Amino acid sequence: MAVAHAGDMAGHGHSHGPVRSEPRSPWLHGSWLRALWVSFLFAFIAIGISAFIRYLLGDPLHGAEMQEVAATFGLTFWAIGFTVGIGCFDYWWGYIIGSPNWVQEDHSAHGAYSWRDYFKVNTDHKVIGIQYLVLTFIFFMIGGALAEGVRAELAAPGTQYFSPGTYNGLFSAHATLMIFLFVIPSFAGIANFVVPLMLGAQDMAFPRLNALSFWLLLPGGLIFLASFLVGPFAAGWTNYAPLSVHAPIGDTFFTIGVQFAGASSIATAVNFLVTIVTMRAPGMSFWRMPLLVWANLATSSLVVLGTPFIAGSQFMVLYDRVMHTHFFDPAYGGNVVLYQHIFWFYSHPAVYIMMLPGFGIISEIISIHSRKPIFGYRLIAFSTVAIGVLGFTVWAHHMFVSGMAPWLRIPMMATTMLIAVPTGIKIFSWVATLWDGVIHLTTAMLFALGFIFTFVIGGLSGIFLAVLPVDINVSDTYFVVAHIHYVLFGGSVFTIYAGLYHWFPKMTGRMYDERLGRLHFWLTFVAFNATFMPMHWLGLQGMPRRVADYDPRFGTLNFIISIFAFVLGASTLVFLYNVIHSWARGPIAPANPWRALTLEWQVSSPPPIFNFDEPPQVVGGPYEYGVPGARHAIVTVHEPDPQFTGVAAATAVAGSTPQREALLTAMKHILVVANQTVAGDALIDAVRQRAGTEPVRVTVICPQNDPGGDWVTDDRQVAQATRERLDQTLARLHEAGVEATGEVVDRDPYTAVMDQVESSDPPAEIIISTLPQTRSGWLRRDLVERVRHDAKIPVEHVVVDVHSNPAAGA
Amino acid sequence: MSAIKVGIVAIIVGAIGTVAILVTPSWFPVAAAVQAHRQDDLYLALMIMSSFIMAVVTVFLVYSVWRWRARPDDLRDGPPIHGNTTLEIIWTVVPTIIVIAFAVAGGVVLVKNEQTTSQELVVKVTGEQFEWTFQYPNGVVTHELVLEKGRPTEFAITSLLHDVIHSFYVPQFRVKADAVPGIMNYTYATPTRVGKYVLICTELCGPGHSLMRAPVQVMEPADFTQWLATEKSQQSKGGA
Amino acid sequence: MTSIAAAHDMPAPEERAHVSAYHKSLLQSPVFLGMVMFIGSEIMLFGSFFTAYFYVRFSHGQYPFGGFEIPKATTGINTAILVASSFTMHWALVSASRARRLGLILGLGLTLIMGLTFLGLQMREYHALGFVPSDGAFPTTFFALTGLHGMHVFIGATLLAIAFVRACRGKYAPDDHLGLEVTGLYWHFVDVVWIFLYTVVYLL
Repeated sequence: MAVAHAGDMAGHGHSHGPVRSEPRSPWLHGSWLRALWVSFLFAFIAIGISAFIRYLLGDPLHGAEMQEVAATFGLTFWAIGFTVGIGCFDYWWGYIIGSPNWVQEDHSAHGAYSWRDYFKVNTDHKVIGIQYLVLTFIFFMIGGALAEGVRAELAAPGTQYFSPGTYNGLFSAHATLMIFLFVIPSFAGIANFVVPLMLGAQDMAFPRLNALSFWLLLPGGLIFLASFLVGPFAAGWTNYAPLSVHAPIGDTFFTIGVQFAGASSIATAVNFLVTIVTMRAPGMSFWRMPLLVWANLATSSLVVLGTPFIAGSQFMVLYDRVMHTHFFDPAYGGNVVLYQHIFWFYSHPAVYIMMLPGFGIISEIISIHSRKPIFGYRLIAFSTVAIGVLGFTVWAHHMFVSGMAPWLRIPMMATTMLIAVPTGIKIFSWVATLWDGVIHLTTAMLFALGFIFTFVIGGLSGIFLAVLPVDINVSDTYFVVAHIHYVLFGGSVFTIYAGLYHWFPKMTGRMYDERLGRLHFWLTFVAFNATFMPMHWLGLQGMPRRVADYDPRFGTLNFIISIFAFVLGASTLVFLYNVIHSWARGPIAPANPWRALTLEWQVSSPPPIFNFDEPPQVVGGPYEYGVPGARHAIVTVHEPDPQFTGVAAATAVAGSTPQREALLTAMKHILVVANQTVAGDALIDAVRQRAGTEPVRVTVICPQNDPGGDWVTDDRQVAQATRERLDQTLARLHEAGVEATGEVVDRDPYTAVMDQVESSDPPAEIIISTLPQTRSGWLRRDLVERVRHDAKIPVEHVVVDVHSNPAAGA
Repeated sequence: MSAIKVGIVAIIVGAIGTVAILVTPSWFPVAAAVQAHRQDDLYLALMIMSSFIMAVVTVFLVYSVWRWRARPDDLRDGPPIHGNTTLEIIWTVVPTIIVIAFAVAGGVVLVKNEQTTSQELVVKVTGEQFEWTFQYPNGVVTHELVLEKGRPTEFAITSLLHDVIHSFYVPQFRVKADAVPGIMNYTYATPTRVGKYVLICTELCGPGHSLMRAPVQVMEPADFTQWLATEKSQQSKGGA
Repeated sequence: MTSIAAAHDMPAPEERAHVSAYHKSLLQSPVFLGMVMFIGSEIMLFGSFFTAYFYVRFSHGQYPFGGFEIPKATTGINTAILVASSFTMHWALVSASRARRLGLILGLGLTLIMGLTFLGLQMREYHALGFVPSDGAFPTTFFALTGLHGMHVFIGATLLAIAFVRACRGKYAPDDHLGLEVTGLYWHFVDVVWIFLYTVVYLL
């Protein structure tokens, strides 16, 4: 990014100059191609160095130990290399090395102007949100396919399709992908898109960190999947030591993949926290924040404080595996239960990390689609925070039978049961919101209502599991499998679907098909309950979880469950078709199809690239439906094309000097800022258009200096080329009867423009011309926005494609 | 229809659910230990509580949707009700009382289940990939768990030092405890019913996990004493 | 070169004012707040390793369990060096806010040198200990904690090196040295963690 963003104003493309007007080589600049070679280069270097150190230490360069070392360093640096290659670090690298092209406010990678921008490092929170959602949905499909493999095996007792080792790999990878690469990051995706808009912000607090968070996810997921090449990790997603310590090399893939998924979550969470604290629009007090924002505040705190613990636990497993340390080896004074304490200290809060954002989504949807204020806003917000706090005090309820200190059991039972109270508050508040509402059963609302039903079941079975004697009986049986799926599918996935339908018009600018949506809901709802409800009974009867083979008397029920599991899988295809078809061909969505009050609905669908032209002024609560005259916020939208009032013919100006002076003063003064695009047809046309409605005179400036660094153009050839283009342009404008003067200036574009604005002959309007997104640099939006903000006069942005316009490139 | 009437309907539905729960013939495999009966009672109490909560939420949900469902072109808003302090206090306090009650009940049952006496039989259970071994106080070592009806039994459970975690679970006893390398973990059962059961491993322990089972047999006291003596003599012969 | 760079490094006031109207409601800059939260996360990472340490420690009677000896005194010198480096870091920051270039460069340079010295002495200590991580649970937790901390010193030293080079090139101004403040915050964090670690692992 930083390498070649300086754009069209700063000079001409020579190897010693910062500007490259020729296409950038994908081998050398942030791209998939560079990601490919850099990632493998990093991996090979890392393996090489570790092998060399082993050689120096006299350790063998073959065998299981060398494989572990190679996997550890190779995978870690492969993933880091990937993020480097794709371009996540270019901006920071430019800062570190003091690159002359580095500019503080670099917006060159912000916003999607074509579908290709979704496949690049992009700093726009909306683009990142969609990147997250699409990528995580792909992992959802893969994870679902693994689950169907599990159900195929379980359709009959005995072993049919998979060896027990592979089977263990299937459910381990299923859970891992679903948790770390679907539920957690897809909530991050929805929040990425929605939260900054809801806050009235232009982006997240750290847009580049945001991009990095996303791009860490992909290598993490690929590492998980790559484990199937060497024999999958098969110790469950919980990866309990010492099974994981003794496991074959696939387990190393798990421990490393988790680090990247975890780093991604932590970075996102820090970003959300800072965004929510610092980027709220004026008037957006904490008590005026939408509940989704509250939910994200609580979730992000959990991630920031909890996720390091799973990182720690997996580091320890990795050390035990690779360095033969003894964290979990009782023979050397280690402790096996220690792993579970550290693991669950994260992984229980993780349940709320996977649930609270869903609660937020449901609060939005229930209120908006039943046209009533949310019932008990403050109590819901408090309960969200309470769940977050209590979430850290209940981890050991996963360990009631684990052999931990017995005295810890009863306190943990008590705290676990107390967490049902804030959860219950939410459920009752939602139902009370529905009461006497004007209920619109959109697909989003159906999923929200379905969620309430399934989540109450999941929550109640959670109370069962909290009660110690019952937990001792049913833990590690199918009762637990049923419970987690009621919570994570009936809970999280239903809310993700609800959120996707609710914000689909906002994200894509198109409406989804309600009929297909309803079909999707009913298929999912029925198949889901038919799949997981019977599992409670299986568990009570004593069928343990994580088994490839089971007592034949459970055969019939398992067969039925498998059938419905396949139906559940198929229901996803309905959703997929609906999304793809509607995204491409659906009816154009209005800005606010649900007549919602929150800020994201007050801008166009999809929102403008920088969200808001001015910071919105928040004046009330977010859910004031039915309150006469209530408003949440005042949003000012600038008209993109100012209307010209004066109508006069363009006249060639001649005559004596005083006359000329008077005429010139009467003419509308337009400032054109351009460099390489100066002779572009689009720019000439834009000026001619003005001249067609009223008399105008034009000042063209070609700024020559790079704005951020300490670099000055001193290349005569470059200056000469610019001069020639300018003269050519002036000639064309004169031909068209437009009064025009111009100069090449040695200032950076922003300063050059502001000098003109503040001069004795200020322009009435500014036209800024740049290259299109893919090639032009930082000053596209950045300069335009800044000038628009500071000059306080109309600014038009003209994009000129040099390639389709040979005259301009000359 | 007012909220109170809907509430009454919900209570009736919850009561119907309760009846259904109580008449359901079998929620569990046969109960073969004192601990199992206590667990089953607790479970049924939880089910009845859940039945009412489920009924309240579902009835209000379904009624609201049925009663106030709007056509898409209906552009009205609902009444601007922001909350109701009394109601909010009720649904904070009542669930708190319910969960505290169950926490107390759970604690009491746990303590009762784990009471030890001086006459209890202590069986040392050792898990390893993928087999269970049982050791009796007189030194008898078997791969079949044989217990005496009516005699409180303490299971001292562990796993081999270099092995992995397993879990000791007899569904008919409703008790479970992990077999952890380096740790002695305890669970208690007082068998009440003569019969043959299966001990299953419930903690993922590797490829053989699903088949890591052991036979369990509960005998009358006389049979048990005889069995123990026979095993003792056979094993000392084998050892000699 | 340097003078040009310095001139350009300080953005015009109106340029910074544009950054965002949103930020004005804040007590702290987002970058600083972000670093505070990141450090919160880091504390939890250390927390997980300290959990392991205490868990293992309290399940054994004597300490250091397993008959291992660790050098209290020589590491005490190392601790003093790290603590001193926090003061030089503070000096660098104060110098930056008072536009004293020499103090800034010297302060950063000294901090960096002391950080690297700490790492070097730590490596030497590892070498002289006479046990390796795989010798038992105490060496495991000992190396894990000190190694994790060493890793953080390394990261901090990298940040310092970047700041040092930038300072030498004339970057940072009294009203524009946020990057420096954040680096300093991280360095103090690394220092405080070490004081806690030294007290708990070596002294108590």
